Amino acid sequence: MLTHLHALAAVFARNLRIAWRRPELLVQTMAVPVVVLALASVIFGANDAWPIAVVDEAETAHSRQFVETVTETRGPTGSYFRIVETEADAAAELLHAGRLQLVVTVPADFSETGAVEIATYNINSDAMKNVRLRVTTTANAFDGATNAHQVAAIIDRVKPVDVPRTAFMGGSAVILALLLGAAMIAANLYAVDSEHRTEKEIALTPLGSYVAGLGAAAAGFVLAAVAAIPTALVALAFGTRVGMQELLLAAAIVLPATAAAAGVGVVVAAYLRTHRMIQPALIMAALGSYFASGGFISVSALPPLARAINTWWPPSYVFEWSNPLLHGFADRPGLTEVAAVVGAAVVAMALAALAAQRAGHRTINHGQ
Amino acid sequence: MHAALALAKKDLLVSFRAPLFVIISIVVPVAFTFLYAIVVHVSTTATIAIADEDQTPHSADFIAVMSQMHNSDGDYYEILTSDPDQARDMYEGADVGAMLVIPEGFGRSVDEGEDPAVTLSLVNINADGTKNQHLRIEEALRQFQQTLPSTPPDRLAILESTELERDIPVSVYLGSALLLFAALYAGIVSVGVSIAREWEERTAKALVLSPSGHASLVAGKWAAAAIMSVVTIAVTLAALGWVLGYPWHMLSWRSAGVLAIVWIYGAALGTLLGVKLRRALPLVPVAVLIAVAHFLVSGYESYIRGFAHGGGVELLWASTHWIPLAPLFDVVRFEVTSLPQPEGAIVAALGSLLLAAAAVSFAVWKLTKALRFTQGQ
Repeated sequence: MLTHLHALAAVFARNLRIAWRRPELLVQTMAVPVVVLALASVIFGANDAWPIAVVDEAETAHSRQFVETVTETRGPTGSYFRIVETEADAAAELLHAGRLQLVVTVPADFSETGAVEIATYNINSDAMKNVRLRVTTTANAFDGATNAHQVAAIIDRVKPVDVPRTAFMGGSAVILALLLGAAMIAANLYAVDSEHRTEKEIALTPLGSYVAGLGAAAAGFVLAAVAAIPTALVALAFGTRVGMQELLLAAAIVLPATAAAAGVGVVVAAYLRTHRMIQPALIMAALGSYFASGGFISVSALPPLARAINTWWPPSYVFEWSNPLLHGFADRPGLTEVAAVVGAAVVAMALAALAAQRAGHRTINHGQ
Repeated sequence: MHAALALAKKDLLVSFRAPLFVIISIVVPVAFTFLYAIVVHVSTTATIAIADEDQTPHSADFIAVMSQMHNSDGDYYEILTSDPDQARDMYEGADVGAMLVIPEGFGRSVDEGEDPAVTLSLVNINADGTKNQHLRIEEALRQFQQTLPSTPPDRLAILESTELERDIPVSVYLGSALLLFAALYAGIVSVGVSIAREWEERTAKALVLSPSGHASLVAGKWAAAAIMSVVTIAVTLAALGWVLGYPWHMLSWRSAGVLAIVWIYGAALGTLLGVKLRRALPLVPVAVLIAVAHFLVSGYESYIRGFAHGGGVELLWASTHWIPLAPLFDVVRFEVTSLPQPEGAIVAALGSLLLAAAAVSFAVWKLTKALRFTQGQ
């Protein structure tokens, strides 16, 4: 038993040395979530206050009241509009070029007709849905000022302040960095023997090849924490804020999940063997999971097909169970949830050992 | 020419004998496209549970208004239940992030003009979801208010004119971007890995030193990769048709040309990466990042252009001027939606081909200059 533990420690130490000597193993794992988080935060986090043009051709007290209502139209993300242009010709030019998606014109006869004109650069129906519904919100606010007896909605939120979209994406991206980091580092380290023609040495060890699998998984699990640091820093820069208590609670889900990911990484590497096959599969599965399995938006808000698929897709449970803990929407992790994710880690490690052991029995090519 | 064909034949034979890499090359971008596609409608349709505690014709009318709200992409609401107990169970069990309570007495308040109100409860773990629910309930309130006889006639009227003849459906907008992403990814990864593989399998020296020249090497690699990429693009198109109802039958030679240009651009980058990095380990993540970054930046350019006024988003948008791919994404969208073609497409096509030519030239030059072979080669 002690011999096996020594062997495991030796493989683990060797893997750490490989990672130290070949920093690209960590850098590439760091780069994927960092770039995706940064781009997604800039693109999807920038449209809270929609830049628009408002041209007041009436210039009456009534029209000024409307323009003021536009400025003051607010939602949970703050102001819905930001007026960047007020001159008619410039606004028309910007709209034609697609540099603005909404121009609101209050015509000279506004007081008589009670109608405003909106011109839209309708590049896609999603953007236009946002624009039109925001205009509706302005219209409700404007009419509400003169008719107090309108049907109203009271918004009751779980927490007084919403978690900003970029903060939610940032928290998820750190989870993604840990899962992807563990899986990819473990897989790449395991595949080093296949790529560098040292499989024979592993296969001929009297202790069994499973040690190589567990050693790679252990190294992947430990190094994932290092690989996730840049993503955590980017998440901080984009407004993700998590308290120490929330972090520790979420760790009860995320750490076993990271161990499970490391085990899965070894299983994938044992069957795919080469970096050129392992990496696309792991990276794209991770990115797809981030966007479609609760990293970007909660699973309960996804379309029916996505919800159905996520019932069977383990990473979605990691996002769904850890995000409420991370952002303070749950007091503690459920016992069943912790048991499930610890169970997944144990099973994944066992599978990693089994896959590595079986890999030791196959024919070895490439002049070994 | 013969050398290029022989090399392409060799690569195809290797793929045929060990098809796992080919399968992964096809499945991976298709799987990503599929996963992204299934959430495209997330901002169109919001899930909600309704606790109708009033159970009057007015509350039924309010729910009817909500269930009928839609745009060209689909319904604005997916109402999971209107049963009060079930709605509360779903909300408390985190099966749904939004619950609308229509309180008892709502109908009477409407009839008597006593400030009727509904309560929208939200798990505000993501402000974007909260915003989506808020905007929708505002529309529902307005439409419901319009149906009431007590509503004064002098409410604000909104008259809309649009720059384009019709809205481009988001399924077409993002579906086209995903299609071009698949072409770009297939180009970079197939060609890049195929070239790097020659170094990994210690066969690069013979190829690089061959009297047939480096052009044959590049042409042979491109030819074999093109065949695999066509399959990838076809399967992606089928997946988009199935998940998004993407109208692939609207694509014509123009879109095919755009796909070819984007693939060539990707293949050129793949050639450069393959020659420079010589190993799949660093190449694949770099290739994936390039493809995903192009998808997010160039693929969304005409969308982010409208709100790129200040801050990081304006800088990001400005960067698209240096990568001429963005207008090509719009060419496909406008064609599929039967809209007049956008400006700048020809410049974008020529610019992309010019960049591709520059990348390939640099790669060939690197091949000529870097003649060191390691690991027993």
